[in-house]
Parts: sequence; C-alpha cells; structure tokens
Amino acid sequence: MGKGEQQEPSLEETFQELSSIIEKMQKREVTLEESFSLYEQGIRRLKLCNDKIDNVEKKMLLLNQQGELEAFDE
Amino acid sequence: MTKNVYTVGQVNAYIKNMFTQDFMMNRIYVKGEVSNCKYHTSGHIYFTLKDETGSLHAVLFAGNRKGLAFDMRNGDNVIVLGSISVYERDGKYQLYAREILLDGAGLLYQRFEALKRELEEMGMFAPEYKQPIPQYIKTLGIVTAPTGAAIRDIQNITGRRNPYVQTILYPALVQGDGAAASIVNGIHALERLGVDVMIIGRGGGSMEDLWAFNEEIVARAIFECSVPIISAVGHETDTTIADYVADLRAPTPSAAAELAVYDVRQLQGQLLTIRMELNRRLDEKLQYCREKMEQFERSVKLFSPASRLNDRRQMAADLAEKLEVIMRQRLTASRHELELYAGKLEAMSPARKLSQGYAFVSDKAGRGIQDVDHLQQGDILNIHMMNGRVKAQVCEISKTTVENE
Repeated sequence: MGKGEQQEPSLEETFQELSSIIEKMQKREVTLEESFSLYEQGIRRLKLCNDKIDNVEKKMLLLNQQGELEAFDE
Repeated sequence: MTKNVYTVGQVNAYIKNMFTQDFMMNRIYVKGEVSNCKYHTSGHIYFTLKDETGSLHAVLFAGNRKGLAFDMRNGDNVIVLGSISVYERDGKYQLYAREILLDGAGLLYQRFEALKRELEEMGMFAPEYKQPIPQYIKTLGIVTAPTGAAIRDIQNITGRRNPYVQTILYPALVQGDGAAASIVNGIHALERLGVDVMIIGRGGGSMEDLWAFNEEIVARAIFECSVPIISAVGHETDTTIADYVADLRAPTPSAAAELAVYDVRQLQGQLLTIRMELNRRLDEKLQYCREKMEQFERSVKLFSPASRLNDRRQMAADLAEKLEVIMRQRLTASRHELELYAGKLEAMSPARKLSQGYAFVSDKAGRGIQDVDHLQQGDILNIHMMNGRVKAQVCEISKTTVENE
C-alpha cells in the first residue's frame, strides 16, 4: 500500500470484529453482563466505521507540473 | 538431323545452376500475402506468397525457425528474406526463407508480440505479483487525459458511488510523442503522493493511438509501483501490455471506477443492518433472561420456607380443628355416659327407695342393718324415712324361712 501501516484497524478488520461480536451475542452461555459489554463494543466499532466515511464531499483535484494539487475544472 | 536431347535431370540441374549463379536469387526480399500456410510437425513451415499476378512457393525450414517471430497466418502481408532455388526432384523453384517479417502495420503488432513475450517470460504478468485492490479507499489517483470521455466517465461514477473519496488526476499525454514518459511521470507522481489505488487508461483508438500503453517503460513503471493499479485502456477488445502488467484490468474507464471506489450508501446500509442486528440480539438476550428469571421466581415461590411454613400452618390449623371436633364429641359422649350413670344411680338411690315407701334401717351408729341375726330384743334402731328419722326399739324378731315365704 502507498500509505504504509495504519494505526487503527481497517474497515475490513472492523467488519470482521463486528461479525464475531454478533455471533457471540447469539450464544446461550453468554451472560447478560457480557451481552451488554459486547453490545457496547459493537456500537463503538460502528462509530469507528461511520467516522471513516468522512462525510465530506470532495471535488476532483489536479496534480500540476509543480507537484501541487489544484481544483480540476473540466 | 542430330538434335541435342537432354534428360530431365540435366535440364533441372541446368536450371538450378542458373539460379545459384544469380546474385539476386541468393539473397532477396520478397513481399506478398501468405496463403496455404502449413505448420509441419517436422518443424518446417510451408506456405505460398501471392499477389494479384501470381504466386510463389516458399518454405521456412525448422533450422531457420528463429527467423519467424510471430504467429504467421493466411492473409498476413509479409516480407520474406531468403533465396530462391530449384528443387530438382519436382522441377519447381521456391523461396527458401531465412527471415519473415510482417509488413507495414503488422510490424507494430510484431513489436507488441515480441515485447509481450519478453515481459511475460520475465514474469511481469505473473499473478503472484498482482496486488489486491483495497476495498475501502480514501484517495484515488488517475493517470489519463484531462479531456475526453475517459475522465468524464470516471468522474461521474466516483461522484455517484462515493463523493467522499478524494480523486486526484494527473493530466497525461495518452498518445503521440512523449506519451509514454508522461504516463510514467504520472504513475510516479501519484505514487509519491500516496494514493490508495490508481487508474491508468484512455478511450478507444487504433493500435498506434494506444501504443504508449505498450511501451516498456510504462510496463515497468506499473510493475514496480507500490500502489495497486487498475488499467482501462481503449475498448474491451483492445488489450495492451499495460493491461497485462496491471494488478487488475477493467474493460472500460467506468468499470475501473466501479472497481476502485466502493459504494458508500451500500456501506452505510450494511452498518445500519449491523446496528439493528446488535439491538435485536441484545433484546433477545434480555427477553431470554427475563423469562428465565420468571421461571425461577415461580420455582422459588413454590418451594420457599415461607410457603412451606404456610403449609405447615395450614396442616396445624386443620389438625386443631379436628382435635376440637373430636374433643367435643368425646365430651358429648362422656356427658351422655354420665347422664346414663346418673340415671342409673338415681334409680338406685336410697332416697328414691325411701320415696317409694322403703325405709333404711341403721343402728345407733348409723351402720345399716339388714340381717335379723345381728339384732336382739331391746336394741335401739334408727329407721330413716323419706322425710325424717324414727328412733325404735326391737320388740320381736322373726326370721324368714323358706316355709314362711
């Protein structure tokens, strides 16, 4: 990857964690306290995912000869 | 008349000699269209070169196989370097080829094939070197012309699918002089910037138009790039060397954009579904625990000490009541018995007897006297009657005998 190592887990990793959390919550043996804890972990990870989406619309940029980014208007 | 009569062998030998002596026939470039091309199992290739006027038999022996660098087919326009000589056995002359080149536009194709083979042998097309395209990118680099359908399509698709991904365009020359170098610069520049994924490509065109994407420096730049590259060059049917080297090949620029950029609404939908699932599972767990608790409660109530105490109390109360009933019955029965005895006693009471006319006789001391033998004349007796006592004296005693009665 061009960016190098990420500090926090990727979206793919977070999705896997969420999947395993949901699976655990299904089990009979899991206590109510554990369920609450798992739920909280799940919500926290969902928030992480939503944060990654950024929600800021971006226009296409152009990399000019000087190596700088400028607005690209077609 | 004496005519010179020659054998077939002599004639053929003569003709062959004519050819061997001729400079031009020993080394000549002949161009024409290939027909009747046969790849023999022996390794020799037999074909015919023809044009509007006629045809010429040709053969490329296995030993000269290296002189043919492409897949020769009927219809190809070629230039053959070789010698023309006579095959005496058949009385035929033919072109013995040493090298065969594709004519004109075909030359380009040949270069393409040659480079493709070379790079393939070096392993640059190998699947092991292909990097996976990351699913959730933040920045997308694009190397293509700043005008034209390609960039427009990419812009549309990325804008629609995910306007939150930053797209960066390196405006490159995509054909003509300097195009290959421009593309290579683009790849390096975007790599330096550190984009997550790169699309390189252009719209459709002829082989010459797309040639920049067949150049070796472009292929190397793609191969050595640390950023995954999706190639989208020309139409679906055009395959350039860039397409072979790239980590992923897309049939069109639009397709490349779809492969590169994830659909953000789909992701949001997935997150929502997961959230609902979390809620549902927690609710289920709560419900389950609640039911278990109620079950337990019922059991506890059933077997609690308080409950057992109540049972015992109830039993005690029942017994007490029974006891009372029995006691009362006993009391009644006893009273009854008493009354019976009282009655009997009353019946036998002296007082009664006295009232019936009987008297109780006693001596002075009050001791009862029943037997006349205990009496003497003159004894003092007390006669107790119903309403008083009489003091009497014995005058006469007569004992009852059986005869008297």
